[in-house]
Amino acid sequence: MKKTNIAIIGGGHGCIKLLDLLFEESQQKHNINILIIADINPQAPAIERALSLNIITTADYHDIFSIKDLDFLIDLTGDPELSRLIEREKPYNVKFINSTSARFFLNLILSDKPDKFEDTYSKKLEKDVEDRTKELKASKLETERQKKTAEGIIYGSPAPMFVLNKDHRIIYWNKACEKLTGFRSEEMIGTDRQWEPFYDHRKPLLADVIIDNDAERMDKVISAMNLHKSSVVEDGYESEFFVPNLGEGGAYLYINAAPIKDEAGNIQGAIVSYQDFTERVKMTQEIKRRESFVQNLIQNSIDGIIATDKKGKITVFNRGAMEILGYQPEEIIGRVRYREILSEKTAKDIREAFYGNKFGPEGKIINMDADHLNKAREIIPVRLSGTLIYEAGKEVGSVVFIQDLREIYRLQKEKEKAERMAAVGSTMAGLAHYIKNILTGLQGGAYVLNSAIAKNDLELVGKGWDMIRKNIDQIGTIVMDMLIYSRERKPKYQLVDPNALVKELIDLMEERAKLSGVKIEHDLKEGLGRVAMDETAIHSCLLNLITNAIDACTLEGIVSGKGIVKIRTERPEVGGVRFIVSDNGTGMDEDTQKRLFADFFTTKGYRGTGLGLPVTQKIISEHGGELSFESKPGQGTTFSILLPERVL
Amino acid sequence: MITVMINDGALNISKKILIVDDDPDIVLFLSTLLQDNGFSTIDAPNGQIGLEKVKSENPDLVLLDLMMPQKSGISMLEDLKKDNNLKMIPVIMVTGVSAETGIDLRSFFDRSLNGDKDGGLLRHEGFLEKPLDPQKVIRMLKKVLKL
Repeated sequence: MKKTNIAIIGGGHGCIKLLDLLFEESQQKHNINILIIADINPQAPAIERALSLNIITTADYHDIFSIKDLDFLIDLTGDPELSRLIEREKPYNVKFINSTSARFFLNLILSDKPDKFEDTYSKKLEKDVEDRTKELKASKLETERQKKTAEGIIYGSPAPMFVLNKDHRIIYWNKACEKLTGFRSEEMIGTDRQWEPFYDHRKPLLADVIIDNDAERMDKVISAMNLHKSSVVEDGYESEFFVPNLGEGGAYLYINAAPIKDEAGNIQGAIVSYQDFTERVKMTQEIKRRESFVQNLIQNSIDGIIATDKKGKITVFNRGAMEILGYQPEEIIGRVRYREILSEKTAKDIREAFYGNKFGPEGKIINMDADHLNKAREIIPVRLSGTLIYEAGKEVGSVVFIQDLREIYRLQKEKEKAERMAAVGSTMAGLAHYIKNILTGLQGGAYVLNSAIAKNDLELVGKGWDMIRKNIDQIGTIVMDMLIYSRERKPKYQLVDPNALVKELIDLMEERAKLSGVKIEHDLKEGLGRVAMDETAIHSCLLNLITNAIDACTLEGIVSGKGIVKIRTERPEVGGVRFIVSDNGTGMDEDTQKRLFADFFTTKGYRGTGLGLPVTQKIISEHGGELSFESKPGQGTTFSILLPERVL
Repeated sequence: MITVMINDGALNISKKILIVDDDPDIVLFLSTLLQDNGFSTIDAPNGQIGLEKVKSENPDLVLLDLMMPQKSGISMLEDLKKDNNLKMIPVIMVTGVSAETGIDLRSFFDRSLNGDKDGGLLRHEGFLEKPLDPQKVIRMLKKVLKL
């Protein structure tokens, strides 16, 4: 059967009585084992008695807390205040009989033997308590005060802390430690579960190793944990380490562990404090991440990025700037002022742009063309945007972004060249096709003429000759069109009566229209007066539109006899004159309308040069006028020429 | 060098050729050339009239211009080859469209000549490019008509 282990605090007369009671007969009988008696006064009566009974004594009752397998702690000092203190400090698994209860039970037991105790005990006890209270008050108060101060420091410390006694049991576990670990002091104090917040399985902590005081093991731990000796606490160790089990995603802790020693230098426990710098690490990591992101951004930008401090010295010179200007960053950064890589004029322009609002608001530059000097001191045209950098309202530097315009210029030139080549190409193709048609006509005509001569057929001679002459005319037409179309020319203005011009054209075309079964009508506004125009040019434009209109009525190849071409003149609001040529012919589909003004586009087979409308449009725009049209397939087309008023 | 070709007229007297072209000059040239070589000719200014004339005149061969307003040569060719009574009449295509325009008509027509599926209804017996060489025209006509 297990013995009940008891510790007693207070070596006064109460304790003597208890010892008398227990040792009067035999301890065996009670199955009680007194392990220790604590009294601050080494001359206390029960202390001397304890020595004779081979019971350990101590001057500091805290020693009791480190005793293993203690069942009961009895306070016989008769001081309720001390009892309250002990209640708080004692290991939670030790049952405690406080001074009030102890006195009550002792009185109860001893009252069975009034002859022996009645007078003596009660009085003596009270006297004893009184004496002891007086005697000890001063020193006890001082001890308490010190202890409370230490406790207060530990409990109130913002740093997580815990204290182990020499049996590795937790005797302090402060608020900050609760917060760090999530383990409450009630569940931790008195246990040796200090490893639980940190590891998945039982494992000695640094504090445990310190308490064990095993030099060899300590060395291993020192190298494993990268420990170094504490600069502040004697025999203490410090280290930084990462605890994956703590918090979300682990915690970075700075640990400081040190032994607690008694006067003789024996280790009585260990105190551990932590500093949680997880937030700082995370913040540092975040700052580093952002910094490297920004660095990447700067370095990998295709734009050149150049930043300067407030004195104009270059502090950032990225890869883009290096490629544009040819300098290596190391020969520029911190060595060269920005204006040293600019021409004097550009430096002045940039300064003015920053402090003025010519290129964006003050302090900024948006898309300014600026010449920089490269390493070979050649002028590099760049497009520049930038901003002044302010800190707390004070200018601390600037940053500019530069784009190499050489590449853009080169691409622009290439594009223009490609476009020109494409235009030339399509012009040549159109021309070749047209000339081939003429060639076919000429060869055919020549054949027919030869054949007619061989056969002595005069009628056929006439037809063959007509063919040749027609094709020669066509060469004349296209050469004239091409000349007009290709050359910049100014209209030769003269004052012309628009209605007279139209009448002349109708006279000219009526016969041809009649042959095609097309009727020409007109509706001419009276009193238009004379309008300034290049008569020959406008004549050819109108001729072109009227021919087109007649063709539109006969394009089907069938003389329908219903074709009507109508020519009107109007006075527009803006002055000048408007000619309107409309027909009720085939009309144009969308595709044809889109390609109407493209060079060499024709729907007229062998007859069209594809230059008629482009030439007309060119002449009208040279007059500052407008050529417009409306068309619906199957219903007809209306073209309109507007010539503005012009004072000669 | 242009030479008038009058020879073997008697051999070709029975062959009637339909010339379909919107250009009257080409019609005049081809009919003169063909007549000089003993063929008889009829003509039409577009595919529509051309098709009517094939039915009414029953020509031995059609010289067909590719690009014409109203009804194109290709459209007329399709109609001819769709018609079981007319599809045996040989057709020689004539065109002014050539490599300069970027359209590779020659290989297109070569394919249909070889019975390529994509050629489909565009089966025809010959292909001539403008400007027309009189000797080539007559040579091809004789070849197609097996004279």
